[in-house]
Amino acid sequence: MAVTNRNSVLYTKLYVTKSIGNATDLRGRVVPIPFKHTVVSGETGGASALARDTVNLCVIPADYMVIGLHVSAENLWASAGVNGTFSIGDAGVIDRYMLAAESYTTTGGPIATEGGLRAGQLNFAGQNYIPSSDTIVLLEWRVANPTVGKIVRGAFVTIAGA
Amino acid sequence: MTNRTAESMGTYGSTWEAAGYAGAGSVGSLINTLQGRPSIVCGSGETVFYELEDALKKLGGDAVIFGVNDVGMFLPKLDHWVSLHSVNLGTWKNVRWMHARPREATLYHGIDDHAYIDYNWGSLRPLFSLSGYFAMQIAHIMGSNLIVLCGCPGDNSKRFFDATPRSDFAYGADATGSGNGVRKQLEHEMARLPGFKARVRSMSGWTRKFFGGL
Repeated sequence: MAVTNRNSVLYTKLYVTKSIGNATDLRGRVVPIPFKHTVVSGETGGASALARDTVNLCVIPADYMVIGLHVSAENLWASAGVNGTFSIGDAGVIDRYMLAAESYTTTGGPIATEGGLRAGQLNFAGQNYIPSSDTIVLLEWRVANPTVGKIVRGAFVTIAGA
Repeated sequence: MTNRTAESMGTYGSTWEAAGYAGAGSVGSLINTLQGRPSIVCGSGETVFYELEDALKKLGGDAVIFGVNDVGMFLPKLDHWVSLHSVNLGTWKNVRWMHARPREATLYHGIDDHAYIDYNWGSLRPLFSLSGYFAMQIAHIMGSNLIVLCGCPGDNSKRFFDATPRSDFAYGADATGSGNGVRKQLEHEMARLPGFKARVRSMSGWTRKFFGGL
């Protein structure tokens, strides 16, 4: 059986039809967007969406392409037996960039294996995502309340839209 | 549910900037309204009532009183009541009102919209992680020239309603535990805004060593 080689949309655009690419197609400027949050007294992670507090982390500017995410956090929960999680997304898709993860391993360390977060892997919905308007990135607490004073920090890797 | 603003949001979406801080909402009218006046911030440390009495003797009757969380139910005078726990503040207010008191005009500060909250600081950034430091932050933004912490030791001293210190939280006293970020955040902010630190004094605990006494 013969094998077939196909062209991606981007390949076709740039190398077949030789259309002019925009900044996010090729040779765009990489812009890191860092974020940091120190947990404040009273932050609540509920079982349902209506009981889950959120945090505005940073803003992805309009037409920027999101290509990477690095997240690191201290042990956010009171103990390894408290199975709280947090996700990162926006008002449209609350876990667009990072599915809910625990940030508490059995050895007591910060995020290690959950979702490969330290490797900069995005959830599929967020990979190469381009918001059409400036979009606030939201962190959502789930299931249990995070511990006051604990820190979540990281950075998005984006390509500027123009 | 409450939406908070991380320090990394910078000034995005803010409608005011003052004293090194930014935010939005209904609080802009408060900026610099306490210029030239001293403030006393009362937390829930076990010695708060003695420290308040001592501070009032030294400062005179012009001092503006900020109450933080539970202690606001019992303070003899209360100008501003501040909490990061906006829902609890409604209940605490009701308890205070059950005590017979002279007519008073207390303003309520929280981080959510509720009928009993006069000023919503929800978009303040960076927001201190403890209610006592949050109240100190509000006094600073309001322009108070001297801010005295009473019952805000910033360590694991017991609260005025506890028999023993909390075992689950140390208010910054545990170098690697839950309090680590609390104290680091305060130290970072005071290094960033040395003029703010210069205005603060504390009557007890670690904060007295950090800020100096009255």
